[in-house]
Amino acid sequence: MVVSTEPRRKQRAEHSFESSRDTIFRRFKNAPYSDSTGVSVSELEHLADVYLADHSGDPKILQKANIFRLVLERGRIYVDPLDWFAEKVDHGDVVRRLTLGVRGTDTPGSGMWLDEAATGALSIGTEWFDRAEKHGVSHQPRSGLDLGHIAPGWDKLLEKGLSGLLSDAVAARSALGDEITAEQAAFFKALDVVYNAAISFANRLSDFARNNAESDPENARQLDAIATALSNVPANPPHSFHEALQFMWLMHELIEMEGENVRSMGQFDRTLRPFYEADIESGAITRDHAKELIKFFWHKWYCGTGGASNGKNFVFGGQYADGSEITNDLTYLALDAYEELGTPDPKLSVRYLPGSEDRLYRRVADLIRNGHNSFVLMNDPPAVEALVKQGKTPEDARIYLPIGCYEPAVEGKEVACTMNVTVSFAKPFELALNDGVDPQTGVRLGVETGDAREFTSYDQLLNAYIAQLDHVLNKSRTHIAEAEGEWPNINPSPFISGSIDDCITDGTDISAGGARYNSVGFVGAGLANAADSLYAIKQTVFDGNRFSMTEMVEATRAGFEDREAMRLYLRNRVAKWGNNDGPVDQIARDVADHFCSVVHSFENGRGGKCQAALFTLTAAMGFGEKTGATPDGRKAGESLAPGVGASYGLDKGGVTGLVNSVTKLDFTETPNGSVLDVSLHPTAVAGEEGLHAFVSLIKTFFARDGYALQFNVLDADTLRDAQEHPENYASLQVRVTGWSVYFTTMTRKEQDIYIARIAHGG
Amino acid sequence: MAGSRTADAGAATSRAGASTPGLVFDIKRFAVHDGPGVRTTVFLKGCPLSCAWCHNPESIDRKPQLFYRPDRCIECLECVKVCPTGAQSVSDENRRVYFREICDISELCVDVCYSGALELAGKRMSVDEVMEAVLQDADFYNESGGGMTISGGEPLLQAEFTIDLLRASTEAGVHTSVDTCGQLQWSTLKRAVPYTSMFLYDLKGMDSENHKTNIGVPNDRIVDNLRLLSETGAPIEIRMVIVPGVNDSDQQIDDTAELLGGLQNIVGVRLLAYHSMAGSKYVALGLDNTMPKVEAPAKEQLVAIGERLEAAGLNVHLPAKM
Repeated sequence: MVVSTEPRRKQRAEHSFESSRDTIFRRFKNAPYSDSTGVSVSELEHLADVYLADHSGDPKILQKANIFRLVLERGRIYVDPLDWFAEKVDHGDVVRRLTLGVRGTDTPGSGMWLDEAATGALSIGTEWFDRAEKHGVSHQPRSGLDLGHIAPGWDKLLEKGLSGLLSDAVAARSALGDEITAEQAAFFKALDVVYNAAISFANRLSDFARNNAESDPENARQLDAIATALSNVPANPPHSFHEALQFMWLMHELIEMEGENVRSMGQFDRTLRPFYEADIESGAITRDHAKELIKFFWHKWYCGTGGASNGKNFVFGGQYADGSEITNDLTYLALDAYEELGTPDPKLSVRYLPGSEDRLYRRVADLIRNGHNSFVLMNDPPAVEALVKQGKTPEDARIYLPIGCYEPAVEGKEVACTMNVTVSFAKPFELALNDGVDPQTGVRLGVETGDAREFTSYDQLLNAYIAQLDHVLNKSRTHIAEAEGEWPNINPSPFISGSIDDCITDGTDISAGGARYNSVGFVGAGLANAADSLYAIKQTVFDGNRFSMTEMVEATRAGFEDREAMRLYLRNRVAKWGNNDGPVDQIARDVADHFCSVVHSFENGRGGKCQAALFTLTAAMGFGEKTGATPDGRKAGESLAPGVGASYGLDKGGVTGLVNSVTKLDFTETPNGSVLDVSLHPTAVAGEEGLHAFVSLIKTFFARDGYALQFNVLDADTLRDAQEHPENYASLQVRVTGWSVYFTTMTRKEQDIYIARIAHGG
Repeated sequence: MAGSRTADAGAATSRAGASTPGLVFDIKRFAVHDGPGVRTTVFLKGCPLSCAWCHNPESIDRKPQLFYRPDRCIECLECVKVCPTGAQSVSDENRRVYFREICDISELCVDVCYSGALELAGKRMSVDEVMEAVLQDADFYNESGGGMTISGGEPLLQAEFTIDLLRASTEAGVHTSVDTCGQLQWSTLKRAVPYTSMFLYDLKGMDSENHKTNIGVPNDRIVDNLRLLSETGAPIEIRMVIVPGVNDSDQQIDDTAELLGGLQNIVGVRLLAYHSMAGSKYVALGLDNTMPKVEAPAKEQLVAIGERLEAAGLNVHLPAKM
């Protein structure tokens, strides 16, 4: 229900979001810290070094907690008077230097403790992963430890506040009594340190804002609001919608400072709904002001990235733990705010149920076709069933959050490590044709599966391929489990752990497996290239006798040099995945089923499950560059197929054929997610008829048990013009993989690949 | 009127045509502006008209044709080896050349041209083959209220095939539309009525002299057939490509409004904006590019035309992107 109430204080025009956004952006990057507020980064570094030298015998979790405290107590701080939210401390990544290294990339190089492990206890695994990375076999964070795909228990944080969690910790500790281990004692101590540090820090910011409000009446309204909010949160549950947003933003920043990358900001329209509705009901806020606050709030993420990359997911729609629908007025208000923001950050996911209202489909489809394409549309039935199949309760599965892009994890109960390893489906094929040796470099990467030139049956080829794929999966599993064993020595994380069940109850950090569900994600990339290559050889060698295995092996090794007609035959005359063609689709299904079942047979190093996914993200291009020519007619170095879809330009049957093929896969076996990239020409979705067709496309995909969709509605001519005249296209967003970016921030090569994809996709 | 449509069905139906293959030059999926919902549009070859601005020049000729796009050619010369007439040949400068005038469309060259430099416009397909393709997208039709559209060319030039295909589609429960130019014997057009859920009817202009100049025939029969079709009770959407300076005069629009305003069962009038982007197809077919050298109509002009038609009580659809 929308209550129309005048704001209690009329908002000053000069403080609208539009008039403030650019200034806030500049100051976010370069905050005017004053030395009177704390010590410089170099001083923090010095103090941290002194502390570590004095406490080298302490448990790592306590060392880290105390550096965290040091930074929050001593660092310089700042509150932007134009903003509604505060978080700034000049921390210089002093904490992350211990663990992950500096912030801002998917695979941050190395902090001190990660370095120690990579060159010590994990040296063998690290060497394997480095070699696999270099040759396009797999892609993973350093040493095979994914510390970057995580979300706290948002509901729990807002429900209890950090003080409430500290009380829980006291109770849990006393429940353990004399049985408590040294690790548990250290965990509770660390939790006490970091939560009290965060509460003191909030008070520092609050005092800063209060003092400035007095001397800056022009901006007193926001500064007062920040001062009031931060004197309450994060210690206590929020009193208002604004306080709840402030709480979440501060948590985001502090968790990232601690050394994890927060990849889901929660179920926005469920977690924030009670605060929003209470404020509307009481008249404390208007709908318009709430929308303005959401814009200020989301602008923070844009300030962090500038629209160049993104991994912070807000999810809408979907269901409560009991299965009832979440979509409500706040859902649509936030979508309005997103439209008005016009930036590719943050990114939004929308979950759909069979009964989801038409309005939710139409609103999102309309935003996408108008260029707001930072959306992933997820289909709850297979997504939830996939999690249940992995042993989660239905109630837990229903409150999954898409982590990062489209990888579900149960909110507040799961540490899913969704990007632990991405395995190429194409490289094992190249290895199967070359007896396990990379033909590009001569390096042995796989197992010996025999001279493929002498293969006499399709089954022989298939078995060789499966052996090569399984080898990579097994190696990854082994070395990931080893790395997980070292996790407590690399990145203990008490700050986020306290929000995740059952860390407090068990007195166990997430790094030591304290979460209820501990999962490891195995992502398979380039399904189309494997299926199409297998089918091409089946058709043209064993069934068709057009080419010999010797020709196939030698032509692909030589990158089809002097065999262009052969390449074109393979590319254009042999059926391809993504066109609703029975036999080749069956091969894709078989490869996917095999991959998922092998992954699901693995336990990980924290006593949890390994979970399969089918998508690519940037690996399509990365693996492609390191993979020679393939029998599907792909040239050496060309990108692999994106997502779970067809190779670029080969979905000649159009979007309906693509949907018909892809929905033959069993997405209840991809608990770690999947996505279909769909490119549509603007004319196909123009007007009311186009919107109806667009919505029908989404609904048909979902009714056929597809998993997730992401869209680009663009024409190639526009993109070519944007390459030549970037100055005219500063706001042009394109969806690259799991996220959207400004087109003009992409490299020329990325742009070219992108244009080729759009040109073929329409 | 619905009753009389059903009565006509029995009289006009001939099972003898069930095996007649059609000459199909394209099957377009996810067609969203060719009738209601998501559709598959089947394009049949051959047209009695020759509109100067035709966007599908391969649709006009009733026989298969070759698209030749030299930029795709990799000069493998396989086509030269298989060509029975010497149309695919090698020049004195050792370059591959195509003498279209002696080509008998054996299709042998197309079979060996993997680059797609040579492509066939016009493929013989049975009703079953087309229906197999159409039914693949049944889920989309059900979700969106869509179906199959038969277009061309003029599909009813292949009357037996079109009727058979419409009947098969109707029997399969798939909504049917026929996009016709109306330049036919009424007895032929009438046969499609029982199996056609909605007609898309092209009007090229109301000035018969002008029509003859640009289209090749006067418009009398087209107008007469439209009257007769509307009397059958079949729902009809009128489609008009607006070509500036050719068919957009106030007089022509007013005459259109007068004609359509007096007819029953006109469910809508769709204005399409002329564009000259099909030029490369003419080149690839070895034809003179006849497309008028005029700009696409301005949005304001389309809106103004739409308003004149709406004044006659018509439901006008402007192009979604202008």
